[in-house]
Amino acid sequence: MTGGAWLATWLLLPLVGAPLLSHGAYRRFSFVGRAILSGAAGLVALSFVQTAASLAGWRWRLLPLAILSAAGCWALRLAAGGPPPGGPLRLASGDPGRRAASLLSAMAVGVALVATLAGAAGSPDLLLFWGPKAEAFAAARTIDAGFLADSRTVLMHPYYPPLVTNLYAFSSMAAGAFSWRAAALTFPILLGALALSLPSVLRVAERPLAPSAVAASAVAALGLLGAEADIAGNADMMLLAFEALGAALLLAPRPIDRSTRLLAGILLAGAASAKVEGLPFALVAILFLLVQERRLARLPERLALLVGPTALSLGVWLAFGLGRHAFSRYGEYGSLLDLRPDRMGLVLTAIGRTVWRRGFALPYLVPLALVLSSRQSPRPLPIAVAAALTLFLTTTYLLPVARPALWIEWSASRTFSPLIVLLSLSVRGPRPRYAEAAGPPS
Amino acid sequence: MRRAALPLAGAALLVAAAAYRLPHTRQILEPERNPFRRSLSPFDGPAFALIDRVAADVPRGAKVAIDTSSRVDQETVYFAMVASGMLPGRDVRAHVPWLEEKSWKPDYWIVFGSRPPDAPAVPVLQTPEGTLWRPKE
Repeated sequence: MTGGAWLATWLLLPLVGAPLLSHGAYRRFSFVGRAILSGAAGLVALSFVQTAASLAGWRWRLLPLAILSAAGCWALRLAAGGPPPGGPLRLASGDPGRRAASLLSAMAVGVALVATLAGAAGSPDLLLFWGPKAEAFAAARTIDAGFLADSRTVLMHPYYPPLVTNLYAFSSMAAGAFSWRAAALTFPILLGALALSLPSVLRVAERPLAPSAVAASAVAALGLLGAEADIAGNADMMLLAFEALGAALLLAPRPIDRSTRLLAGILLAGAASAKVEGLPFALVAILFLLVQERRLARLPERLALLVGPTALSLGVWLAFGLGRHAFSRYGEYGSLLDLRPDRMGLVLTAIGRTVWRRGFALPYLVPLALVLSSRQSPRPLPIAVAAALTLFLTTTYLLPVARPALWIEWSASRTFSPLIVLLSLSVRGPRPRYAEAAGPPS
Repeated sequence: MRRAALPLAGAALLVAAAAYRLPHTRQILEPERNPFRRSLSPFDGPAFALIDRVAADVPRGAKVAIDTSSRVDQETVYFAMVASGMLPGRDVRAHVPWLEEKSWKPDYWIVFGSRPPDAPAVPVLQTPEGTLWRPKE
């Protein structure tokens, strides 16, 4: 029963985010898509408030945390501005294969659920640090700096960003205890949330191919990879969901309006607050967007909407960690000055082997095949982010760790998984036969 | 519909692959609800099962030593990490010589693997994955 109560807490998140997502500009998304985006925004706000409260030395209480987070979303609503100029965004003319795609997405989520229930997807990292940290924070009713600074918990990566442990601690406080089984179920639940919301976001992208079908292939790829790489209960599915939705919003027709920019910024902040790898993803995506936009007009404002949420979320976390001596640096694997280029062959071989072992690399090969077989050139933004991320991650694996092959075998199939999302998002449809200059839909 | 054909075919292939990689139906329907029993790490399933079972018998504040019947230090340290996470409020330490403090006396022992024949302790609970002990007075 604890597990049910633990998960039921998540139903509060869409209510927390509702003050923002009830803004008229977001009516272009489906009701379900909007509710899930609302939950995602609510979660980012909740985690920020939890971290800020910990920094201020206030003990967590459920209702004040939720109310303050909802108030924060209300304040963000003011930053979203009015409706986009020229009326609501043009919706795609159609969504071919929608029913088949929905069925395939449901099957992918069902298989992920069965794999989790069968104990075939449980993440060791849930046992080793995500769960224990959340339990400790729930017991202390704050982010427990003493626990993080203890030499016996040094292997729990004290500097890892707090969103997932904050949410798990919040759920544990509400349910009265931490639930390992419910935590594992977050993998199929978040995969399902992505399956329900991604088509809605892709439908308002520029030149969408077949939003539901493309979303279904991404969801199926993540489902296979998640079960193969054992991600149930760790932060990977949360990271992937934030990255997929945040990056998909950046594919909106140019110029991207203020409300879309803000929501993308919040979701990318969610990615950066979920896992360390989320920060390079968010920064590279924002950087390439600004380069692609090629205009200096209102640059500080455009930048603030995109980067502000990440800067705030991680800023308060770093202030907490450094101020409370919970950790002293944002990393642990060595300095970029000590890279070992001589290991390049070993690293590439180990990455290839690891990716192959997780479902014969199908989660990567299928999205890649979609890009290569498309008659349309891929979208440059996701491809550029994928290339930069690949370079970053490969370079990271050149850091001077003692057993690089083991490190790569343990992590590479997960750290490279955003490429699945990015390749899927890069597929686009043909140019409309009739000029888009027809203006906004009536 | 033609535009959706390739993504749909890709999704179908991936779903089929994921379904093919599922455990056998009989295993899926097992009553045991251990989310780690078929994890990539061979230690996680047994570790979760044992600690989940004994947690109620180890009171908060207790000192708990973790040992393995294999006496492989790396395994012992790994099990101790898992136990430490699953037993909040207890002082959990690995029973390996290079980590031991002589003044630290455990209130409980958790031993992974087969029951040690020469244990200087009283058995409290036994499961297929290991045993819980209290030191002899």
